[in-house]
Amino acid sequence: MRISTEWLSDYIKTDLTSEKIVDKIKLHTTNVETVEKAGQNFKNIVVGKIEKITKHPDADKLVVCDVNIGKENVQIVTADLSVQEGHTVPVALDGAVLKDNFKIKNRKMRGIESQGMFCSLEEVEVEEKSEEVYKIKENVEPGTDFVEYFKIRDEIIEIEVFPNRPDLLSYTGVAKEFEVNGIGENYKLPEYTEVTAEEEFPVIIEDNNCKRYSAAIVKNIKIGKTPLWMVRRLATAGIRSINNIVDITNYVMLESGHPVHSFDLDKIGDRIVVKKGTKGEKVLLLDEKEYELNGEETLITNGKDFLAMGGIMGGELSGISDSTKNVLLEVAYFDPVNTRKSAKYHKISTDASYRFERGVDPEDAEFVMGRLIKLMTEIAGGECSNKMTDIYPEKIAKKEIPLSYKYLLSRAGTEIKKEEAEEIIKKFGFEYTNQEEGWIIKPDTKRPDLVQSVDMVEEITRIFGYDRIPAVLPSGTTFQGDGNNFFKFKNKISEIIRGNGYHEIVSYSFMNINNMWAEKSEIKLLNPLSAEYEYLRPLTVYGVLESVSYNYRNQNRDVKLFEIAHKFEKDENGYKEISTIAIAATGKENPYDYTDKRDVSYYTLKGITDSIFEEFNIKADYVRSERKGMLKSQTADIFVEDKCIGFLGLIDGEISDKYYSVKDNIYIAEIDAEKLFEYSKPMNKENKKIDFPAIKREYSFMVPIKSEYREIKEIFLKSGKIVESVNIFDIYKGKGIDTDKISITVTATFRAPDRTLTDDDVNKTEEKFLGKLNEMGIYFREK
Amino acid sequence: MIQEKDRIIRELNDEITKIKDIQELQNVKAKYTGKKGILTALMKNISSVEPENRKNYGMEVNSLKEEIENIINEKTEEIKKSEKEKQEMKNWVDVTADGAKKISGREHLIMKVMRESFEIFTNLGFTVVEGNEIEEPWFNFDALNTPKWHPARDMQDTFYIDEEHLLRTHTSAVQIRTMMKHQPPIAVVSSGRTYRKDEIDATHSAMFHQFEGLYIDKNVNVGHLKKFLEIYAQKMFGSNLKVLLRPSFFPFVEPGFEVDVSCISCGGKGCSVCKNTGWIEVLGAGLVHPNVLRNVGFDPEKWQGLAFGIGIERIAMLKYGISNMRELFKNDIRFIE
Ligand SMILES: [Zn+2]
Repeated sequence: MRISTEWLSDYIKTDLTSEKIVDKIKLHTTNVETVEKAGQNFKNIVVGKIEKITKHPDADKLVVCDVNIGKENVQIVTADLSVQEGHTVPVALDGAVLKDNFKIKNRKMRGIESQGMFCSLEEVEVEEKSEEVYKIKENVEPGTDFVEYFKIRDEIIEIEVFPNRPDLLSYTGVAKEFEVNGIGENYKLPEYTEVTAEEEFPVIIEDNNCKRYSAAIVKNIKIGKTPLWMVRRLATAGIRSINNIVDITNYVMLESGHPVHSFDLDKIGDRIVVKKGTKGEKVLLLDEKEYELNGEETLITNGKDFLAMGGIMGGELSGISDSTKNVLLEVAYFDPVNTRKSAKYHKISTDASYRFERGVDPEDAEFVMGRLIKLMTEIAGGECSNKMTDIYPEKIAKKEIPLSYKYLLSRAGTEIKKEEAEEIIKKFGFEYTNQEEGWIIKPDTKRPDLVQSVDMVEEITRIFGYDRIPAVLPSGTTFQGDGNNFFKFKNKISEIIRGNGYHEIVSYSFMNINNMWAEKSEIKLLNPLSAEYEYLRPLTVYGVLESVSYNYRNQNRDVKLFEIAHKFEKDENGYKEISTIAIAATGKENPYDYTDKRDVSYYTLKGITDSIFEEFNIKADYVRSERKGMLKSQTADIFVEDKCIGFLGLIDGEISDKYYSVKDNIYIAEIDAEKLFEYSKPMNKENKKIDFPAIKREYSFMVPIKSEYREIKEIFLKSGKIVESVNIFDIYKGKGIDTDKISITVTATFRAPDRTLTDDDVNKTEEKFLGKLNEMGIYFREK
Repeated sequence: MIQEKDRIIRELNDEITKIKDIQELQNVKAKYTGKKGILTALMKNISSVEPENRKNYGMEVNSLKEEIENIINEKTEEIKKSEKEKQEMKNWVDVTADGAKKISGREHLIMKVMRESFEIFTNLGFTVVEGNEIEEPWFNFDALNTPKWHPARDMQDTFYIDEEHLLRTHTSAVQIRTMMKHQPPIAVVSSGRTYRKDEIDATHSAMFHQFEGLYIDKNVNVGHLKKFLEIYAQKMFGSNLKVLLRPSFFPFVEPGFEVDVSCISCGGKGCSVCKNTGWIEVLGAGLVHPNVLRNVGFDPEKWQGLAFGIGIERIAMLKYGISNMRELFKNDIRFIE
C-alpha cells in the first residue's frame, strides 16, 4: 500500500518527519518498502490563463500564446496544439525546476521568444505518462503557485501489507494504526452524508456468499473531469483518472478499504438480484474479455441479465459511460473464500477482489455509502435522497476474545504493566470489559485477523515494543543436542572427497529432460519456469556434469566437482527421493601440481570411493558394467551385500561432446548415500595385530585382460592365514605387453599373530597361490 | 736421498694434477704408499744404507711419506668437494619456482553456512532432522495454518507436481512431520532445499536453502526466541551484533517477526549495505501458532513453541560479500577458489 503523507493528513495529524514515521512503522507495524519524495525541488510553476493564441510565423507545428500569470502577461510558444484560448494551465516560468531537476529558461523557438513552458501532469510528477498539457478545471487565480495550491509536494511511503491485515489497505485503517503506534494523533474519519436504511431500489440476495448488499441512487450527475487534488492522490496509488464517477469509487475504496461499484442506473433494469452463475454461461467484463462461468461465482444481475461479477469486476454493459446520467451505488460484502476461488479460477486480480479476499469490514456500509454520496453530489453535481436499500440477513458480529493477563506475560516474556496493556487496548479503540483474570476484548469488524487470545498478545506486545523484551535463554527442559548421524555421515564423505581436490557444488534439482542421456526422469513439474527447469533429476550427477561443462566452456580444462543431494524417482509406491553422492571430473588429477602429469582416471576416482568404503568399513564389489552412455572398458557398478548402490566410470566421448561440449575424458560416479549409511559399520580395530614382524614380497604378473584383480586378490587372501594384505604396486598396459594382457605388480604382506614368520612359511603359502594363479593363466612377468 | 725425494714429490704432483676421480687417486695412492709402492721399496732399501745413516734415512723416508699422504689427502678432499658440487648441479632447483601445490576441494558456501548453522544449534541442544523436498500440500500449507483459500498462499508461488504433491516452499513442513512423530518437549533444527516459482535474478532463485528451528516446551516466550537468534547471529557474524525483532506475518506463527541484525558492514552507523538504516534483515521467526499445535494434536494450553526460518543464501551473501545470488549456483571454479 502506497501512502501519500499529504493525503493521510486528512485523517491524522503528525509532527514526525518521514524518517521517524518509517522507523515507527518498522518497529511496531510492518515493513516499509520504499519512500518516494515528489516535487520537493519544484519551483516557479504558476497557474496561467491563456488569453490569446496566434500562429507561429515560421512553424506550422507551433503556436504562440499570450498568458496571464497574475501581475503580468508572458509569451509562451508551445507545440501542444490541444491548448485553447481561455484554458487555465500550469506554466513553468524562467528559472522553474520540474521533474528530474529539469530547469526551464527563456529561449527562442524558431525565432520567437518563449518565456517558459506549459506543463503536463507528467512534468510535475503527478502521472507516469501524460499525453498533453494539463488543463486546470478549478477556478484558480492566475499567478497562484501551482505546486502549493495543488499540494504537489508529497512523500509517499510504501508499506508491506501482510495478508492478515486488510485494514491497512485503506487510508482510514492506516491512519488508525498510526494513531495506535504513536505516529500521530486526532484520528478522524472523513466527512460523510448521513444515510438512512430504507428501500430505495429492490435488491434480492439469493447467494449467501453475499452477506450484505446496500444500494443507493444518485441522479443527474455530470460525467466530467476529476478535480486535480483527487487525480493527484489517485495517481500516488498508481490509479489513472478515468472520469469523476469512476474516480470517486476508487477514491472511496482507498479511503475506506471497501471496494464499491457504480452502475449506470438506466442500463440495469428494475432490480438487483445477487445469485450464483450458471455453469457454461459466458459474461463480458469491464476488461472487454469474455469469461465462461463455472457456476460458483457470485453474480450481480437484474434477475435475467448479467451486471457484474460480485467483488471482482463489473460487466461491460452496465458500466459508467460518458452518457451516464443516473448512478446506482453498490456497497456489499462478499465472502472472502468464494471471492478468492472465483478470482483464481478466472485468473483475475483486481483491487476489489484483492480486498474482498482478505476481508473487508461488513459493518461500514453507512460510512462508505455516505462518503460516496457526499463526493458524488459535491464533485459530480448529483442529487440523492440519502436513503439506501440495505439487505443484511445475518449481522456479522464482533468477536469476543478473552485475554488473561497471565497468558499475555507468559508469551511476551517480559513484565508488561497491566495498566499499560489496558492502555494499548484502549488506543486500538476496541470495546473491552475487565475480568478478574484480564479482559474480554471485542475488536472492530475491520480487523478479521483478531480471532483468539494469541492475536491480542501480538497486538499488545508489538505496540508495547519488541525492543523492550529482554533476550533470555529458556530455563525449562535440558536438551541433548544431536548432530544426527546421517547428517554427520554426509559431512564426513564431503570431507573425504574434498581432500582429493574436488570442490563441493550445489546445482538445481530440476533440469531439461532432453539433457538426460542415461536415466530419464518421470517427475515433471506442472508449472515449471521453463523447459530448462521442467523435470526433477533422476541422477544427481547430471547437475554436476552441467557444472563441469560450464567450467570447461569457460576455459577451465581441469575440473573436479561433486555434490551430495537428492535424486528423484517414481515407482508404484509414489515419489522417492534419495540422498546421493555424485562426482564428475575431467583433466588433470592435480592441476596445480606441474610435477604431476597424471590425468583423472578410473583408478583415481576409484581411489575416492575406496577411501569412503574403508572409512565406514564397508565391503564393496566393483563389477564391470554396461551402462547407457558409458564405456564398458572403464565402467563398473558398485555392489554392497549384493545390492547395487551406484556406479563409476568413463562417459562415452560422444556423450561428453554432445551434451557438455567437453572433448576430454569425463569420469563420473554416483552412489546412494542412504544405502551406504545403512551398510556402514564401526571400524573393527582388534583384528589388526602387529606384535610380530611382517614379511613383504613383490610379485609381477602377466594377466589375461579379462581376468580381474578382484580374483587375484581373493586367491592371495584365501591361500593362507598368514596373508595379511595384498596391494597393487603398479598396473601397466602398453609397450612390451601383448594387447590381450595386462601387467600387475602387487605387494603382499605376510604376518602371523603368534610368532615371527620364516621364509619357509611364506614359500609354502606362495606355492599355493602361484599354483592357483597359473591355473587361471596368470604367470610371473619375465623381465 | 734429498734429490730422490724432490723427484718423487715432483712426479707425484705431476701425476695428481691430471687426476679427475677418486678411483684414479686410489691407484696413485697405491703406487706410492701401497704394499708394493715406492715408499715400501724405499723402506726396504734401508739395508743398503750405512748403519750410521740409517736413522737419518728412516726419518727422511717417514717425512717423505707424510708429505705424500698430505698431498693425496688434500687431493682427496678436493675431488670429493668437486664431486659433491657436480652432484648438486645435477640436482639444482630453481628455489623461486612455483611450488607444486596439491589443493583441497572447497566447501560450497551454502553448505558451509548450513553446517555452521547446525553446529551452533546442536551446541544449544537442538537435534538435526531431515525432510523430503517433494511434500504434500497439507504438510506444506494446511497444517501450517494456511488453508487452501487463504491469501497467504500467494506469498509463496509454488511448483506443483500433481494435485497431491508439490516442491516444498519452506522447510517448515519438517516441523509438522517432527511434531507428528515426537511428543514434546522438542528442540530440532532442519535445513535443505526449498523451491519457489521466482524468476532467477540477483536476489531470487527458484531453488534456495532454508534453515529451520523448532522449540516446543511448557514455557516458551518472545525473550527466548530473541536469545536463540542473538546467539546465532553473534556466532555467525560477530559477537557485537544486536538483534532487532520487528512485526511480520507468517501464518504458522503468532506473533510473527522479521529479524534484523545490526549491519555487519558498518556496525549500525549506516552504509550502502544496510541502505543507511544500520540494520539488515536476516530471517523470519515467531511463536508457534496455537492452530499449528492443535493441527498436530498438541494442547496449546499445555505446550508453547517458537520457530524460525533462515535463508541460507542470504546469510552466505552477507557473510561473504556476494552481491548476486546467481554466483552461488554457477559453481564457477574461479569463484569457488
Ligand atoms: Zn551498514
